[in-house]
Amino acid sequence: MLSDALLLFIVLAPGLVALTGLFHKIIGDKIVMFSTTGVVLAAGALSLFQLFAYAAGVGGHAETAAHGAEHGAAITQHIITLMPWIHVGEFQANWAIRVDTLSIVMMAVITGVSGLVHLYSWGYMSEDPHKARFFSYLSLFTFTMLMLVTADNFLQLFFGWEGVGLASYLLIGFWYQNKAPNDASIKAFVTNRVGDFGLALGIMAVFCIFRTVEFAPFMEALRENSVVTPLAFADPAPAREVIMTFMGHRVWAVEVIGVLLFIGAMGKSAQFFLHVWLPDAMEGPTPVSALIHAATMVTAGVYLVCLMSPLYEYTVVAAGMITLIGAVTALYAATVGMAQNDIKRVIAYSTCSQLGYMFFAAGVGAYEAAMFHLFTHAFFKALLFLGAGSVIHGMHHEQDMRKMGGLARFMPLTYAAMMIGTIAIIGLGVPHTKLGFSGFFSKDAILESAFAGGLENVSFAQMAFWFGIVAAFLTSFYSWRLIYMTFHGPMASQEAHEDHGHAHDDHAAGHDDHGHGHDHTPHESPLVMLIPLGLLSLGAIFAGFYFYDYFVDHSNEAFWAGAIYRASENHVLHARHEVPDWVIYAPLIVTLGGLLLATMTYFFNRGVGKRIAESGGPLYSLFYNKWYFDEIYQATIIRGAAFLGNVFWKADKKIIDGAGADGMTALTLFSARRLSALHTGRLYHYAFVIIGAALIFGALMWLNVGGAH
Amino acid sequence: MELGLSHYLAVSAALFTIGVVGIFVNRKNIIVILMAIELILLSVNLNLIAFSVFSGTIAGQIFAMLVLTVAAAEAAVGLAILVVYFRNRGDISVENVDLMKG
Amino acid sequence: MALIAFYLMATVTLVSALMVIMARNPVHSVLWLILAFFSSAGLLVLIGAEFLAMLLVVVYVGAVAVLFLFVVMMLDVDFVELKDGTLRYWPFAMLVGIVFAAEIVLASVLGVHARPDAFDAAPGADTNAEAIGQVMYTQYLLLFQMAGIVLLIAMIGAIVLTLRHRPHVKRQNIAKQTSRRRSDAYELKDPKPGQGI
Repeated sequence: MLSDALLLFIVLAPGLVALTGLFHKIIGDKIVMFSTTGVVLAAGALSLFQLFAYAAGVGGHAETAAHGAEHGAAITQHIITLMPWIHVGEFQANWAIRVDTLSIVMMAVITGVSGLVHLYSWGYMSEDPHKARFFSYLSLFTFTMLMLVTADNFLQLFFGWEGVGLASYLLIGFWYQNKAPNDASIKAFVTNRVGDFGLALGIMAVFCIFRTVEFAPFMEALRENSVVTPLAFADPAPAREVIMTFMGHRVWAVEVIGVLLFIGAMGKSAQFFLHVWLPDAMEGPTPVSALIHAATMVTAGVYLVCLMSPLYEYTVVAAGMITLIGAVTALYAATVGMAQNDIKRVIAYSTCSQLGYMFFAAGVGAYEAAMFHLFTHAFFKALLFLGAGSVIHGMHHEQDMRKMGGLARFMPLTYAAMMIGTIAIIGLGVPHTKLGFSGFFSKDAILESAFAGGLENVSFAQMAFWFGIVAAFLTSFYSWRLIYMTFHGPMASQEAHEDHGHAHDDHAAGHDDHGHGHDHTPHESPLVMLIPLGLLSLGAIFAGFYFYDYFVDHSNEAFWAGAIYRASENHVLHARHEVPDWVIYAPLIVTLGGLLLATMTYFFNRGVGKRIAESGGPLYSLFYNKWYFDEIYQATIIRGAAFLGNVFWKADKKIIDGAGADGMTALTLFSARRLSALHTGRLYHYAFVIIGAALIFGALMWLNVGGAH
Repeated sequence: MELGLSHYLAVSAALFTIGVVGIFVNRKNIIVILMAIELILLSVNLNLIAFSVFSGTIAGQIFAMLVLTVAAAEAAVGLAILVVYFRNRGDISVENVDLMKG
Repeated sequence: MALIAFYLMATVTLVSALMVIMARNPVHSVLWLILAFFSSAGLLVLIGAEFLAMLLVVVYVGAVAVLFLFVVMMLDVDFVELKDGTLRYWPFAMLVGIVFAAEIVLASVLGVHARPDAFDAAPGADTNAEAIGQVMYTQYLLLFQMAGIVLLIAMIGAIVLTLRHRPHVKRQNIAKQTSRRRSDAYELKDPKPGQGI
């Protein structure tokens, strides 16, 4: 374990260095770029070192760790309390850095990918005048995500959660001068908000039932099943058996909390129903997509579910819901990704689909497999996105795959990187051996666990398995489709480029440093962009192989050391070794099937895909239009909300203003006009009033004093 | 029966009522209003002095003197105003004193 | 004996008060007012407040009523036309009057427990004047002075309101007169023979 000082550096330095962006007019763009990239890369190196060192040292305390895992004590958990935050009665929350296996893994992923993305952005954003803002936003994001994963209480987690949402909003809408990024960033934020509402309710439920927002006492109560005395809505009972009244029904408290927390995860990780923002988020620059919408922010949901493993182990409905939603998302996103033409959208839907895998793995109880897939996915997804960015950069910001083709000979290194990424994502490997790219290990672990869960009648596990298999087929298909359409075949861009050449004269004039004036031929990316691709490729190839043991195989208990909790009935991860052979071969078979189909339609008969697309059959329309989700939401929720807003606005204007501000004014004027008629100006009227009042007062006083007694 | 406080109170009450009625009933002459006010003040004086004599304190009579003073001052100023008003308007009909209307 | 005097004077007071407000001629109203004052002064003498009774006569009759008379005479009022249409206000006014009277009567009869008799003329002094004098310049000095100031202000007010300088009236400005110098008064001129000034 690294020293406290270094841990503090890893978590806090990116936040501090993000502030330099505020002064970029004074200190200049270069300093901002250097400092942010340097700090984050250093943090990345340190985190990776920590991860490797931790893994290497795991063998040393295998027995104690295994013992601890059975009894649920996270022995390697180390908490550095930075500052008290809120201490109100039982509501105690500190700013802290929690170091255990989960957070070490996440730190490595976050800082590693973020550092490489910072470096990559030197090349990608080289012509952008607002570079400094971009880099400081990237560092801000890194900081808030680190705060999220190193939280030791729900409040800091929520802070990080909202912080990454903010960073996502800022980065998606980076080119805010245009309408599309603006709309997309708002959409992302609002959709996230829906999820955050569920998360907030979940945190409140935790506090209400368990009287604490810190993880340690909360999880301990769940592990030991100790008696808790809720503040409200429920009677004292052992932690796992508390029954609370939620919305008028008596339900298990752990289920309610589980479902609410998962809704938050749904929003952040773009699962089914709350996925609509992810494709639109591609309006942001590609490094953003690589960092946030592939490797880190969207995995925050998976992280949360795995962190809450003590909770989900004791739920049936919530875990089932996770499995169901994850499985549906995996399949849904894969179908939609098949039909997209924008290179980034294909990869975005691919991310969505892979997140679905992670969630249903967690839902059936194989949290370790989910984290493993998160880990490997970070590498190859970031690689794919950065490679796509390289393609886009080389094609001068052309993103439509139909206008690409034959780029392999112009960008050989990018091509190689994308190939590696694709092979990793489809999970090519030899079963029963340790030969394979990273995706092979993690994805197969998930599918096998799902099947094993199905055998043990875990809810929806069987369905998840089959959905996963079909999704694997589709994943292979669309990944190879992307490769073939982009890099192989004739250059579809030839004529298009000639038109572009005439229309974009001034565009070209600004690109003289590219060295090819009006030419617009695609070109390979500069070294700053290729180095991250290379490093990520290494990860995509070897990460699975190297870490397989630690994450999901023999040493996994020692590795996780209680950071992920498994109830004693949960044998899914073990049981997956006993599944029939066909289950182990199935993923490979469907992958090869997808490869075959893609090759046939896009490599050999290139026009087939185009013809299918243009024929516009119902299935194609369904997939291409994302199953009409945006349209459905628009017609129902958006219109409903807008209608409500209108109603309230009108009500505010008419009723509240009418009764209050304007109404009062009118009333005052009206009554004043009437009342002023009382001023007749005639003396005797005034005298009469005086005398009458004197009479009345006299009578009142006389009655007051006692009247006739 | 013996001459008592209640006799004087009755007289005072009646005088007061006559004064009040006089303010209402008169519509044509502001001077009569002023005179009615003097009647009211007279009744009050009577009241005060009767009570003072009856209860053995002298304060009531002192008060009556001060009321007398004020009544005189008020009559003077009121009549001065009336004179100026007459100079401007030319008549002292109460019904026409409605310049403060509205 | 006192009772008869009382009833007599009370009746005169009330009748003359009624006539004040009912008389057609404003001069008559003033005269009735004077009678009302006189008879109430008599009432006061009856209970031993003779100083105040005389004060009433001097101040009210001698000053206030005379002032009223002056003003009535000064204002050229056409009193014939003034008395039209007063009759229709009488019922309402009577109503108000009755209510008032009732209130006062009720209050005095039911509220106040009056000692039936036992008048004390003026405690600790022979005459009313002496009794008043004993407290007036000691306990109530401030009030006395303030009454004086009120009168002063009323006088100034009345003058300010009504004074108007008639034009073309010869007036003396003493200060100007005494500051006149020889040089302002005349000058010596030497007319040449056969010429004028």
